[in-house]
Amino acid sequence: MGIIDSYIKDVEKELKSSKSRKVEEEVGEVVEVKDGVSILTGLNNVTYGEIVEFESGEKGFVIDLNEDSVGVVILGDFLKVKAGEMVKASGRQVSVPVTNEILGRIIDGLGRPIDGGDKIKTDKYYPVEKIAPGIVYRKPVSVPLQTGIKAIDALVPIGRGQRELIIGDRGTGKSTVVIDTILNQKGKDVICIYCAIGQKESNVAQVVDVFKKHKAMDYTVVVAATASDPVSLQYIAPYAATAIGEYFMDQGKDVLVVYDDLTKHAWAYRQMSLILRRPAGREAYPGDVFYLHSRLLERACRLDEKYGGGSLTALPIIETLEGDVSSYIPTNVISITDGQIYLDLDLFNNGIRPAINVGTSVSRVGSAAQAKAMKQVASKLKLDLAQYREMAAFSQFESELDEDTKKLINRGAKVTQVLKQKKHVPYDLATEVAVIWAAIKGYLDEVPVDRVEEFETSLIEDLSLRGKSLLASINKKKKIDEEDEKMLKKYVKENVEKMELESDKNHKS
Amino acid sequence: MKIDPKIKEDLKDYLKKKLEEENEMVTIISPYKLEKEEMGLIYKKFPQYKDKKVKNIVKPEILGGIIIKQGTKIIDLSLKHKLQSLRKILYGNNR
Repeated sequence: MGIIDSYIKDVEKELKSSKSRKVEEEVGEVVEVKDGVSILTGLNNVTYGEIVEFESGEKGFVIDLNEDSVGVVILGDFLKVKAGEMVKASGRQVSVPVTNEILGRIIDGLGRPIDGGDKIKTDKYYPVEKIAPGIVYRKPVSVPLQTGIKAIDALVPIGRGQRELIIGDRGTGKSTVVIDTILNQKGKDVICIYCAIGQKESNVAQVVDVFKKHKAMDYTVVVAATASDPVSLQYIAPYAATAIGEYFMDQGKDVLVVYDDLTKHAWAYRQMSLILRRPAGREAYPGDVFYLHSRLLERACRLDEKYGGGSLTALPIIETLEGDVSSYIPTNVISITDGQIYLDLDLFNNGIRPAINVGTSVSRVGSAAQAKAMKQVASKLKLDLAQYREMAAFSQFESELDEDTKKLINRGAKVTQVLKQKKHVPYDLATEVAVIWAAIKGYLDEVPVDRVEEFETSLIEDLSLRGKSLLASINKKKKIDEEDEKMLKKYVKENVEKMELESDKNHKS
Repeated sequence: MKIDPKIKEDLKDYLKKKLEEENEMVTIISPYKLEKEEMGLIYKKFPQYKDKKVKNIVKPEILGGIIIKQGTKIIDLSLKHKLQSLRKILYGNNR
């Protein structure tokens, strides 16, 4: 009976505290309800972006202010809203609850939990829409964000505070790249936010499962607006994810926000705009679809130490159709971001995974955000690959080539093999460097192409057993000196010899 | 038929004036017809409505108390509203 008593006490307290306050409220009336949006009259004193509450309990936010009507996007089930219903303005802007306890949670675009857990308890709210920090607050990007993927860390390095687009056809492993990046942030003091927009619920469940398996949920927040959610929530989700990121950034932390994917975000906004009868432009997108993404991605930044020194890295994903990067949304986002990683369907089908097209992928921040050790090996790697690409066209007539060219082609093929990586196994810096080092120094030239992977596993295994101190020293110093190189050479050579021995044995038997 | 622009202007002005008047007008919704003394009590509490044009509408479904409406602004002091907010408190916001 103790429970009932405490309940009654609570109710009594509430009743006493909420003395008849005379609050003036702004009201309006529903005139029209369309797919997800509704047109209201009244509400003479609402502002753009304000939350309104319908009598039926649904919420909405103001997105259109006309001479005598107000356009509201309904956040929730629009079928519950009836014409003639009363609507109250709340005086609040759309905002999300923020707290450190939000880590490990799955929430929707309004900060409501969708993982079956309790409500997020906090009295701190961050507005979903915020103007990006100005020039004074910013600092050039200089600290690397290790993705744990060899090809990216070596060729298109990403820095903390950068915006790097990941673009490619469906099924080319775009999500895998960002998921691996999140997995690799374990123990690196980076808060990760995975924002799923317009994806299948099953997909999101799968991603969360991967995070849980690799214990990545401890530093990750998942903001999900799935395909079955109203478009309004899909529209808000990336902004909400960024707001949560900004909360951690304001504490001086480094944050990584992944938007998976912005194509569907643009679709959601297009639907809303068309229902609101805004003029349609190219591909039926409204005129401000560029601003839609630019104001979102501009919020990624590296803050100066004077202003806290946190950073927010953005990894937006864009899905192309048949590799067409020149359609509207891809070109927009390419021009907003600081570079792109292009995933190629042909490469993917040829078994080169991650299917990063080295020629068309760039990072405009470049080697400024690369560890010294990686810089030491990456420049040679880039050269090898560039020469290989040039010569690859001739490789059909291999017999007629001179020795030098053959060598180049052989090296290129090995390097390409070395850049392959299994999914959900991110490497630390030292391992990445060691593997690439072996390839560019020519130790793999004698290893057949189909056995490069085998060599890689045996080298990594060996290094993790015998070369622990070497890996630790490279990871700590973030560069390779002569001594390290000597040690590396020993391990690499031994492993190459081991493989040769094995193949000899196989031949004899 | 062509309408004289002057008449059009006049009509517009008239509509504007009418709308403004409507916005200025105060509506008091109560569960029963309010007596003079009761109105006096309301004016005492809300002196800002004393000189305004006031209309009284009877709506039994608000159960008790009053709702004061002016333009798009509303002050809800009805029993129905209180019961609704009590329900919100009881069910919590977890819903």
